[in-house]
Amino acid sequence: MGNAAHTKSVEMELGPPHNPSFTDSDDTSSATTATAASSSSAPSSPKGGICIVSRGTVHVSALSRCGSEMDEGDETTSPNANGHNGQAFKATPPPTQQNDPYADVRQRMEALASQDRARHLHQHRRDHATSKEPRGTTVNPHSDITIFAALTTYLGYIVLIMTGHIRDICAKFFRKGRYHRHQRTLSSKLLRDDKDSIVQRPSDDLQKYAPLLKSWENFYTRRLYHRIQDCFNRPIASRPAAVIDVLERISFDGNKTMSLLGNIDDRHSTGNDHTTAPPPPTGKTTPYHSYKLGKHYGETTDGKAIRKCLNLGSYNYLGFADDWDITCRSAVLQTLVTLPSSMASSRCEYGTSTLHSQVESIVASFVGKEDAIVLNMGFNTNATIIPTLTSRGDLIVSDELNHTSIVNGARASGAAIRTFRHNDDGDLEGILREAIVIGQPRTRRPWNRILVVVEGIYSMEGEYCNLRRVVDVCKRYGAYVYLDEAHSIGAMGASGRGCCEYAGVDPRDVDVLMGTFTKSFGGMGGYVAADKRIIDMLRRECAGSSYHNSLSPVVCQQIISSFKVIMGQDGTNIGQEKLTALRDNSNYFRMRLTDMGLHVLGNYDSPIMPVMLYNPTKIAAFSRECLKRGLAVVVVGFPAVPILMSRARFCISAGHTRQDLDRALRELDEIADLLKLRYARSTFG
Amino acid sequence: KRGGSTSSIRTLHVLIETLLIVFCIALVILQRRADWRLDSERKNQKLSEGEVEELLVEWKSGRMKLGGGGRHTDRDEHAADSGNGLIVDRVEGSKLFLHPASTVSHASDDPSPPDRDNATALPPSVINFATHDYLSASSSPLLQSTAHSSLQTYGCGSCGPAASTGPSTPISNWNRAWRASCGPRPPFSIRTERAPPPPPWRHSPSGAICSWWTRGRANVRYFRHNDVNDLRRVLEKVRGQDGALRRRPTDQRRFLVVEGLYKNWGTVCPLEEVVALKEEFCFRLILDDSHAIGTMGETGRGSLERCGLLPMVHCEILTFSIENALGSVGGMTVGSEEVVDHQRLSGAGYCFSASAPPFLSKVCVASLKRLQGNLDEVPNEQRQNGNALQTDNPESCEELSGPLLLEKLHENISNLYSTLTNSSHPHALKLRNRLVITSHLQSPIIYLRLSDQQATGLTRAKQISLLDRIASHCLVKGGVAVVSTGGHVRKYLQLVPEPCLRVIANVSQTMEDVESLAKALGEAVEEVLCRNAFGLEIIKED
Repeated sequence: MGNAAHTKSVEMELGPPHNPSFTDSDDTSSATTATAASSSSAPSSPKGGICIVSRGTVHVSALSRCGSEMDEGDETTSPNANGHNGQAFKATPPPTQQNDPYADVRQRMEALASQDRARHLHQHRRDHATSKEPRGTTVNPHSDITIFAALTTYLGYIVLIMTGHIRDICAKFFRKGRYHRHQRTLSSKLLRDDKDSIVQRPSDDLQKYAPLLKSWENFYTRRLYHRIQDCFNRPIASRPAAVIDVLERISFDGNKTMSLLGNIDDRHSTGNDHTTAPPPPTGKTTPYHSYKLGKHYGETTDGKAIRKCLNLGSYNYLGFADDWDITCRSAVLQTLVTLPSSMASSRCEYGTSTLHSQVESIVASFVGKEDAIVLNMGFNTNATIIPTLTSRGDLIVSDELNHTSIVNGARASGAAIRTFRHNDDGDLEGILREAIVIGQPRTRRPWNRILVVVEGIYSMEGEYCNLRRVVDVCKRYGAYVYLDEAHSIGAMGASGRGCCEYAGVDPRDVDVLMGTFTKSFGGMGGYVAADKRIIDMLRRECAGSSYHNSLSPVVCQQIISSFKVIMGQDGTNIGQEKLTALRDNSNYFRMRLTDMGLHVLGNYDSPIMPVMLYNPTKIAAFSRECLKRGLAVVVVGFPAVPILMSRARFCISAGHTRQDLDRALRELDEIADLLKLRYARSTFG
Repeated sequence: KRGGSTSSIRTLHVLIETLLIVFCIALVILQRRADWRLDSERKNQKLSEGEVEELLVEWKSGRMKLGGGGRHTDRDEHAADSGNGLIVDRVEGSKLFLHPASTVSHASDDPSPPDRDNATALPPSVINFATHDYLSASSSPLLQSTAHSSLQTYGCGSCGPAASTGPSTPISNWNRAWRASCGPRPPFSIRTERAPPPPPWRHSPSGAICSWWTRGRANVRYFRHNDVNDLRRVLEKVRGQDGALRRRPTDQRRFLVVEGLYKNWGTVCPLEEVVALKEEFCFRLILDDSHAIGTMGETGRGSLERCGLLPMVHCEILTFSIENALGSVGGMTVGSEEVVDHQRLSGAGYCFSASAPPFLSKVCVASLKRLQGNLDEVPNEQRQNGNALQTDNPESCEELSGPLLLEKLHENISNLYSTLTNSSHPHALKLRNRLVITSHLQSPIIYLRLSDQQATGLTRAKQISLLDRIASHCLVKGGVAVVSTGGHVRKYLQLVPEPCLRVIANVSQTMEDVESLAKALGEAVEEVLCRNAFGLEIIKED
């Protein structure tokens, strides 16, 4: 039955994009599909409808458990209930759950989620190969910026840049200024602590040396980044759980450098703190005591001032930082008895412990591949695996929004690189056809291999990949698929198996599955899962495996423990609850943010939701307002996103409760009014 | 006669004009035809749908397999590294306890396939001459207890890049600890796991592990490994080019990149000369000190301290890994404010990658304290906690720290060298004329390669397989873990080192351990190098 459902739904997906009569004419079969879907992925939805389920994930227990819900589901719902092509794609949590915190909004949430999903699957459909339409006409509906926002953003940058230049010119003219490079003052300022031995640094002499940083980089850092430096690199004094302790910082030189506020009582009595900061300017009384009256004030065990904030920024998707004491603690601490924190040797030599092999086999079985290799760092996994898999004579076709690690890896490989429009399988198809027909540049030889690199969830957009389409295109033309599941593994799919499960793609159709342990699993490092032959080759030849030291055994144990919880092997259903909670929390938060009229990027079911800020000044204002109200958020500015597209990025976790989210939403509502952020509702925000 | 001549001229005119008209018409027709022919040719050149489909199908059937075709190492596909398949169960002092399921794979061209019993009957514990754990951080109760207590406070992962979610306290503490350990001059420091700063560079040494030049898109010149004269030659060539192109040296950012202690060679960079040259030619120095930090210099501050130089003054960008001597995970960059701020904004490893778990930073801080000898700063309860963890091994509770630790390491290194080169030692004698030490005398990494007389006539693959067999013999029969290096990934190296045996000194090795290393190596060399394919001894000792 599961198989039937699978093929049926796939057919439907491949069918014409807008064919409302399709399900109407085939009412009975869609009803069967609905039951099969709801039974093969544990939760069932009041909306019923059709769900894409991968064959590999049909659990017997789930089948038997949901058997009783079948009839009810069929009767209460019609296939067209959600009014969009009669297709609801998502397996949803059981509505019968007693303590469902979202019972009142559940229906709307699910409807929005399924609509969004259906729209996402169809919007990028362009058959460039056969239609006359020129390639590249697809408009990404998420990247539209109103003219007003664009103009004010540019204006903001112009003002900032001009002010910066004027200040630079003044500094040059008056030979005085915060960033004026005067050799002696620079050295003596830095080496203030021992005045006896002022050492001149030879490379500061710009008569002989080229400046270390090019003028724009330097200018950006000085005049733009330093102004809002307090919004980044905030030090944390706790686990990255739902509530975090953010250490208070203070700057005595106009945000050029930040220092910890430290202990308030000390500051109050002595006036300064020699260990962490230069003395504050005399003559001014700083009202430190008012800090203590703050609503979110707290102190660490050694008395440092902290602000207790709701954490909307960490990649703690499954909330393993929240319940670490219950889920992972004992096993992880036990590791230290026999194994060190670092193996100090590479995997090829003596860096493999029992735990490393365990992690690899668990990962391989979890994602449904023959074998897996585990590396020390997620970034390096992409940056070293891609050059090992491809070389000169190969072609890498990469999504235009792929992560820096993929870009770095692709550049290091020596292969030719083409990019296709974000999530546009039509563009991908066109590029593949053209590339295969024309062959390599100059020599016209056929390509050795073509590797298509996509991500499961794009971390800056919150969108997931249209994997089914990408895989279909790649299969048709014989290109290999490399899927980076850094954010989606553990966070998507009914059992957390990532984008493959969510999109109903057989993992065997994706040649290389890559992911990291930093996000959902609360560890560090990355893995690559593929056929045994490929993994064996990577073990021998990948720089990350043969030169880099192996992953810390302590972290290995953390990964093993969290995997066991997710797979339910610890004998509890904590894992399943986490997955459900993550999906519900994300969809609820996204729904309410969209209701507010904010310009929210991304898709339902994805735990990342960027909110567009556009103006450079709003980056800092948003972050500071949030911190003031006890919300820790991540704002993203120029180097990481295009200069017009500054945004705030919320990452929702299973550790959040509805109360947490409601509080955050209330505060955000105020901030949206204050900063005029409702770009989706009105042109002027 | 006159009329006749005019009429004949007229006929000639008519004839010529008719011919001209005919020619013009023919020209036009032919031209049109030629056009048509061109058109059809053009049409023929454009592939039809069917042909495109054919090409696509053809390509699909002829494409290369993923994971094939890339043969970048010298090792045979089936003969893995000497240590591959070895699984470590427990680390304790100088001992590595192996998991019963570990296997040693032998070189494939081994004449007599080794009996499986040998391969499986590994000694349960072996003496560790293999990992880069120079200061035995792995078995320090202090570090263990630090990890234990900070795990309880901070949990395991950090769940986010430092730039967005922020570094947690341990990481900032680490900054301060490093500052303290460097004395009054405050270098700024961050974690970047071998992430280079984006500015392009100019010069790099041979032998440095660098796959990332390509990403900097810089012009790279190489000089001969550790050869100062060659470096001068290269630098002067650049200066000559400057003159020819009328380019000022201030137009281009120039970097000189060296390793303090070369991991793949065991050699030490002549930093004084390099620094003098860099100042003469106005280059900036990038120094990778991953293996010298914690092993060299009076207080373990690496090769700069060994040469009496200062970070930031003599070396603009100092990077090192904290994974070796310091027993943590990750890496650091030390430089001026400008360098570090730039890395915070543009260093890919800092911006786009999650920060290291907080407990590892704490471990690193504790490790630095251990190196400085400030064990008292660590809270007492933590130490007791650590002792409680180590109940099965009470004697390791008292631990060395500070200068004593480094002294012990240096003593062990010199002891190792003197034992291996001692010609009156019964076992070390067997190594004579067969293995040659190529590394520097102060280096904790010791490389032994086949001597010229042994290596002559042997291909690289053959040498690797010989050394692999020596290493596995050492492990199986002698219970000593050494590594046979040869499986270098060529793609990443400018100059591939010759196949070697690598022996690494650490603090917890005793005299007996060194003795058993000499014994195991001697026996293995005798076994492998002095017997021919039939197992008969062909060279008699003395």
